[in-house]
Amino acid sequence: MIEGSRWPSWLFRVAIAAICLFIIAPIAVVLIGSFTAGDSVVFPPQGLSLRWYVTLVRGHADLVEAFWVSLELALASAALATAVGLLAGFALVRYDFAGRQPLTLLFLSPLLVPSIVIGIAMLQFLSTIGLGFHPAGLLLGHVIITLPFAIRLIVASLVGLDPALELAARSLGAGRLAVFRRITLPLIRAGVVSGFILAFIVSFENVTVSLFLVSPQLVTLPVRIFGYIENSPTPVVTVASALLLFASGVLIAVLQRLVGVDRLWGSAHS
Amino acid sequence: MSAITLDGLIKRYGATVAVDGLSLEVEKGEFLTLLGPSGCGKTTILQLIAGFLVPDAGQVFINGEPMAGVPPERRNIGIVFQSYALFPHMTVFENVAFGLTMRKAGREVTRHAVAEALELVRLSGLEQRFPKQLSGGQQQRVAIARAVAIRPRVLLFDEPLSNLDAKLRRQMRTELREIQRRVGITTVFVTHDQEEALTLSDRVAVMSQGRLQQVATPQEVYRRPATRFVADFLGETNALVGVVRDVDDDHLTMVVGDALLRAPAAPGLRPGARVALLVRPEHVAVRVTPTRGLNSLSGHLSQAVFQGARTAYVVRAGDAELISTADSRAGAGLGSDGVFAEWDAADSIVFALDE
Repeated sequence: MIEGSRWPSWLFRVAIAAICLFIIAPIAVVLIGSFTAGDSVVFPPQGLSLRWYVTLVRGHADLVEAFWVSLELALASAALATAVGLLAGFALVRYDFAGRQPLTLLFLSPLLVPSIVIGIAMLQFLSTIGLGFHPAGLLLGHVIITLPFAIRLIVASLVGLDPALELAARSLGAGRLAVFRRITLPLIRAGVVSGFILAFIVSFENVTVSLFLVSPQLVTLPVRIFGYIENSPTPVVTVASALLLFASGVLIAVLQRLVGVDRLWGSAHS
Repeated sequence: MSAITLDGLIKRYGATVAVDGLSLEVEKGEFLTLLGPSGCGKTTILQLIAGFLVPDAGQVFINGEPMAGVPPERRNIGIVFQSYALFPHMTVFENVAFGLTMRKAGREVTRHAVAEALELVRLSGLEQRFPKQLSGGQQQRVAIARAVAIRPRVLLFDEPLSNLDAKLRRQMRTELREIQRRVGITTVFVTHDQEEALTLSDRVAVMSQGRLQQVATPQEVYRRPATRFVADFLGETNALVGVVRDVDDDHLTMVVGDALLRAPAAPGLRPGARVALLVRPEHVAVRVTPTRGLNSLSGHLSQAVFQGARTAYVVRAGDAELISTADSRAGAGLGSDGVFAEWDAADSIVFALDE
């Protein structure tokens, strides 16, 4: 806190606590609510049990299946977005070519265009080219909405990379491929991994675009939850939401362990 | 055979010509400095030698071998960058060993070469540190060790001292020269710092706008600058503009205001030519009475600027202003009016104006 500020420090702390509370509380409500022993979605829960978790696994194969669909879709689209993001990021940062600015804007445009518009547009486009309600269409849609996140993080780490590092490695006898493998990739790894994680989460939780691209045979978990909420809000919905949360959380934890928490955010720019 | 031959190099960036038909030979073991203001093309030349850039015309030869089509990784050139460009994710050992690893040198050979290189730069014992755990001067040494460890045919330095503070820079300068003498590798050093160029080099190549102005020993570029640009760029100079009156065998007489000055003759100058006479401040003396046989301008002392060991005296003589530097103990007691700024004709040099 800046010294000499006119706000008393307790007020400042209360404000911060309030902000944190408003971020965490709704999520906590859903999480805790999923352990209810009662028959309706209420807070505080009526008793604690794993009753609805069992119900979901036993009697809601559609939700379980949707969970796996979402997981696979998120992994595939994040991997594709990261690969494309790496290539695009290199082009945007390392080469000065006509159309670089418009291209940057184009790559980031899915962030600026409302996702409902993207959903409708994708549906029309995919139907036209004969991919309407096809799994490949769903994947394509998710790659498009996750790409900006992958590119942004990869570009940020590439910009922070001194080009002289690559030149130095070249002069020391490393070919282009060796330079990429031994110098560039290790140094932008934090950006690449963060890009992948963010892309995964964006795909995993997306409703708006998926809504237009899913088929009766292939529904993602968020879309399914959305359907439940509209028709019959049972505590099973909160369990499904909790599963989404757990999956994201576990993935972040695993990747952070793999890459190292300090490496993930720290050493990329040193 | 020269270690490096640059033959008619031209490099353009769009409409700007960075290197404009430059030819230069660097002898084996020589320490040559490319000196010039920023944007004069000196770094471009370094990158052309290294192979990071391809010339639009002309050729680079290393040990007589044409380098066209040879990628940087196969040129065997050691480079020290301004930012040092140490690999942050590798230890000092791994950094210095990188070039040997790329050459698939054996473990023992590598260890030996790294130890030797680190000893050369007096960094033995820091092998397991990471670059960010080192001071700027130490990082600089690692960069030198890494470049030397591959036993390159040529060493290139791109303004390597400009990120160090003044005191460390002087220290590293001496050390750098020592290291280069010991390893004896042909070196091209790029800088905009004239002091660096004068103290380090066997020869200095002064550049301006993509062209060579003069290539000569430090003494020669300082004492006998070939062009007005070189004279202005290296050290301080006083410039007096006047008209040539007479030319004899090896001297000329010129008129500046109402004074007559003598100077060594320069080729192509005839009576009536407009010229600039240049003389270094350290060659100008300020006296209360004129001396026979010296060029003498009468004026008054307008300022004395104490600079520590030396003091700069500013003499106004009509429209002209002359600076004289002298040992600080010498000039005390000069009155502010009626002084003479004097110098030996041999210490001055004349260039034609309106070329």
